Amino acid sequence: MAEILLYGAASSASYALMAVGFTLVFGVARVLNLAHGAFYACGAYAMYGFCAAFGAAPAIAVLAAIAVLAAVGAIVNRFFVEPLRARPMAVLMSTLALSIVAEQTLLITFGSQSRNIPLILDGPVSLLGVRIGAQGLLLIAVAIVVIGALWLFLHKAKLGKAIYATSQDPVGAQLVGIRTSTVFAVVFAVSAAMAALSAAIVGPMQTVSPEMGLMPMIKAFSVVIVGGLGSIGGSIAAALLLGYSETIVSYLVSTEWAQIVSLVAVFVTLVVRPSGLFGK
Amino acid sequence: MSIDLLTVRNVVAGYGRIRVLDDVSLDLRQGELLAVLGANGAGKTTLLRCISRMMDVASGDILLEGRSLKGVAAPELVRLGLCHCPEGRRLFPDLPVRVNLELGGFIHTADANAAMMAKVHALFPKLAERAGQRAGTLSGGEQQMVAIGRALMGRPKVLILDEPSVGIAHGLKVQIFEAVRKIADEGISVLIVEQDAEALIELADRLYVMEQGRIVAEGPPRMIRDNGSLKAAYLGM
Repeated sequence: MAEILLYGAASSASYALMAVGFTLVFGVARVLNLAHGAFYACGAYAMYGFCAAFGAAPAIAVLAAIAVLAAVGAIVNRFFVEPLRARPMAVLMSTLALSIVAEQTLLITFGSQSRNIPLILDGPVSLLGVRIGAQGLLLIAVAIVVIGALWLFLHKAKLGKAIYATSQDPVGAQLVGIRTSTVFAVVFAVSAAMAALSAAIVGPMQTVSPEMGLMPMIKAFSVVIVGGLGSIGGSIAAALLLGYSETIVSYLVSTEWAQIVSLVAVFVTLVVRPSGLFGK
Repeated sequence: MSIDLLTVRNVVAGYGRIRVLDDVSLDLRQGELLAVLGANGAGKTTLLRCISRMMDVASGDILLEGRSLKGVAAPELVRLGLCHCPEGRRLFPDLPVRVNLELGGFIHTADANAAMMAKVHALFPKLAERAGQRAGTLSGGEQQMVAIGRALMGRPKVLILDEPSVGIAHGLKVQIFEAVRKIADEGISVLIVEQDAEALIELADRLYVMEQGRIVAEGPPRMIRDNGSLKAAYLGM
């Protein structure tokens, strides 16, 4: 039981970190960013680069990777999303193309063999009678703190309120003097930074390879559809739902079947409640 | 000698090949309540969209205090002293009334906003009662009050109102127009466009009448009141 509780929380945390960033971009900028998985992969390689090339300590390398990806997010928004904003389909294509370019670039630069990035917290710890990697607990803690901070930022900070207002009505936001192009840039930066953070913490527990962004991207998309596009609360709820149902299925049946859970969840949601759990 | 705050000079504008505004000129003077009347489709909203930089003019120019607004991004207008209360209101529906108003003062300090909020509440006491309620759950008339209040929070020199009476019960309509009169009396220049000519004729300092993208008449309210054919032809009165 305790195992399911902890492992479920860890996998929910990784889904939530990816999905909240993805849904934030949709909720505010009204575009689906198919390069979100590429942000994840690039985040892992940035971490790898800082560790391998500069010998940075893992904790420092994570922060550096986050900073780099935040900048990448803002740049992607400026050159690949902003000029196409009026045409959502064009944004879909440009971000998809970008994700393929990113994957190929990683392949050319780093080769196809998988790489390893170091754990930030090493060694197993015992909690509730379960031996779990300290990194897994770190993942849970980081997800709670980061998503909590994001929620506070959106509701309390002046820039956060501007972001929230833009998500409600971008024209209304401009009318009161909110520079919405800045808001979109910030949202992309935050979203990419969250993907990098997720990759840097989850990456060491998996393998780092150029196509590693695809599955997390599909999972994030699933979570966001189940939760309701653009709803942060919905994404958290759906991340917990998928994280725990996958963990339970892995324990009771097998890990192969666990992968099917998210797809079934998406299908059922689309049939029963097309706008998602918290969608409008 | 009155000063022109806002000048629209020979503006031509449209959507694609469709020309909506055809050589429109008007001027808004310091502290006046100026109404632009006209039937649906006369080009009133397009004119306001051009002024508030939601769309570009094909030719002609729009000047605020003598400065051309060409190339100015929409969010910068508040900083120049122009606030637009648009068609459809464009409120933030899931946010409480209080936050909608605070966001209206986005470019100002919290202290300045608190002072302005008190004035807005004095003008629309209803908004003080509804402070914690989500804006999207208010009635149409109350939402319009929030929209005007939010625009006032930007501390404008020029306030632009797009058909504030649309879809609103008669009693609230009168309240809103009276509030608009008060706003102008306090020295804020107001440009209001309306279909509901009757209610405005008594309140406005000066009127323009638009028809098919052109200004067809300009003058004080009595000009319209005393001109039966103008009323019949353009305003359906």
